[in-house]
Amino acid sequence: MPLALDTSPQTEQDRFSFFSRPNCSLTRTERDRVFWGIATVTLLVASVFSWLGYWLILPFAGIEVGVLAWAFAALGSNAGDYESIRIRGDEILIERRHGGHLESRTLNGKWVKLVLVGARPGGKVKLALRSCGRETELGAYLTDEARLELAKALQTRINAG
Amino acid sequence: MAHDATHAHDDHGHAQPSGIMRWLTTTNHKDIGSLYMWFAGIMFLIAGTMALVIRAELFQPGLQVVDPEFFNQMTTLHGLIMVFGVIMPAWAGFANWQIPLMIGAPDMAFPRMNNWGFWLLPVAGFLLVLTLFMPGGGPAGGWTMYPPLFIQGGISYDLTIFAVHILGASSIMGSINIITTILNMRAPGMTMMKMPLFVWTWLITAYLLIATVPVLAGAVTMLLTDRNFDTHFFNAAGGGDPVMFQHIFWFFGHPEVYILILPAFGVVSQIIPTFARKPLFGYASMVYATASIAILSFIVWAHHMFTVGMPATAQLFFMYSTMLIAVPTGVKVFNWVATMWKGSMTFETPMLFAIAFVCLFTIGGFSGLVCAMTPVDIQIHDTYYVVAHFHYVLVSGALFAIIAGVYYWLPKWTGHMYDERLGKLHFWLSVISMNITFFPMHFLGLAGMPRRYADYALQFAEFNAIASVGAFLFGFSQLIFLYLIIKAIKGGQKATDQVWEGAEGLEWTVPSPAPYHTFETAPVVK
Repeated sequence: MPLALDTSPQTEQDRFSFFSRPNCSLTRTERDRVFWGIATVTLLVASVFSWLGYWLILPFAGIEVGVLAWAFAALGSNAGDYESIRIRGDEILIERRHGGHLESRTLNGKWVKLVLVGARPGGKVKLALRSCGRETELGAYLTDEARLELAKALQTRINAG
Repeated sequence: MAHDATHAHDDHGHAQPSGIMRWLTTTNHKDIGSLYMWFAGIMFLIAGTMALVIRAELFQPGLQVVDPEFFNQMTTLHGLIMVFGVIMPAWAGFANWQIPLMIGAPDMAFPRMNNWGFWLLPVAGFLLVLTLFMPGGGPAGGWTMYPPLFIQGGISYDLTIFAVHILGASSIMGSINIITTILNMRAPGMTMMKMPLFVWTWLITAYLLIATVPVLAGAVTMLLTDRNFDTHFFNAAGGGDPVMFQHIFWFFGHPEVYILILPAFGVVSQIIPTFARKPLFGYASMVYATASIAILSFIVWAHHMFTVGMPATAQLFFMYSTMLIAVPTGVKVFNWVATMWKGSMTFETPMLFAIAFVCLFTIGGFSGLVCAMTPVDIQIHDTYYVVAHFHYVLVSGALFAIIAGVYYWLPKWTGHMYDERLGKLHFWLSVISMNITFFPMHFLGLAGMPRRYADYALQFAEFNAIASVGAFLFGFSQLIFLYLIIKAIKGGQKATDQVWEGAEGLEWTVPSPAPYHTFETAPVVK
């Protein structure tokens, strides 16, 4: 599970907001710099040996740089992921970005039901909001304890609304 | 360093496979760290037994125990297994256990790749041992795999090359995982210059691995095609250049030496401040010294091959560049001593091994400087002086740091304190027997005894007998270590969360033993 940040729900008067995202300590620029720093040295060494006639080093260097590129691309694709919940009056706006794909859903607070499954010791906690027969799962970047906390805060806010 | 940490206190009871399937399919960094450590331990027993076969044969001049061919197989496999099957996997085990705990990450960046990276190792280890049962026996051309011997041998040589390929693939997966974990999964506030030294040294080690492993893979592949597909990269009979293999091998091989020793610098840099109860002296200079050593490791490779013949300018270049490494290494030794200076020191087993590391690794470093001088090296090349030098670096250096690290973090891993009295006994037996084994080898080498021979002239008998007695004492002393580890796993005095009074860092904020899942929410490092 990715490390989550900014996970405490903020409540003031009739407003509620919650934001979480996986932790990425590497920016895109840093990621590019590190990748090219490693790839350049590796490919340069392999190229010099190839130039001297010992070309079988180059395919191994190429495969390795390819795997490295995949690894950095995988990190990059999730770098902008986040999940946010905002409540203003009766309107609940859920927004989730995952791997560059943005999903959002607006629910009516009066017609929504909070679903909490497995909230017992030993069970994996599933938290979702159900409306019009469709469930939207929440707390993708949270631990079970944090999901329970979020459920409590959401329930209080929905009941109050 | 102040920090607020939150972590899971239970295992959540997720439906997980049990028994053997748990270990085969695990993606948990702590499980995989333990697997690496046990693998390294088992291979240590195998390669250590090979060392005892070598020393039993060398106890007296003449051929007593094994025939020369088998003796050469023992030296070859002892070297290959100790480097690729013991020291490297042990450091990978430390990396898996400690890096996420030290940077506040919940796991490694690519847990499945981590699992594959480990499970390639037993396959390679099995292949290496299997070579002994092939027609003609195991590889006998030395761990450096030089042609023409490695081109001419039997099927066990192909198996060895295949094993090296697999080991290389495992190392690359591990390195990519370590680099991405350290760079992308540091807890908020854990800036690069706040990272523990062990994490820094592993980051640089992983970089070295990524830069050099393809060179080794290409070199052994060319050996393979020379053996089986009539290419002539290194085959002099077809116009190839066997000396070029040495250049390529040592272009990988010298950074490999630092791959084995840089994490040791990291472990010692964690242990000494803890037991001196002072922050590490010169943290930034330690980081820069580590990076300098890594950079210099790329331009010194030919000091391993002064005797093959090279222009005087090349000899001078490689001699001076090698000597230059003493500068950043000296910075490190100075900083460790300065950390201890006027510290409130106590001498628990990890600290004893760390101090032994500083003293004895320095001896290995000094003998390295002697070997670096071209005219001297031409005299002592391939003698026991070189064997003494690299065993001071790798046994009292890398291995002692591994042992120190295990004692240091074992209470965090198992939740129990080890037996301090037995730990000290293990230390004194190890440090005394190590010196009895390897110090006389300096004299043997200076007197001209060549390495990799099963027999020797009568004049070398006394020092060889002393070295063999020391080797058996060292070997059997390690059984105390094994017993201590098993004892701590099974029970004993409960370890506190901080374990050591002077210990600082995120890993000491989680309970002992460290829960299955840690830092699922971010600790904030202030």
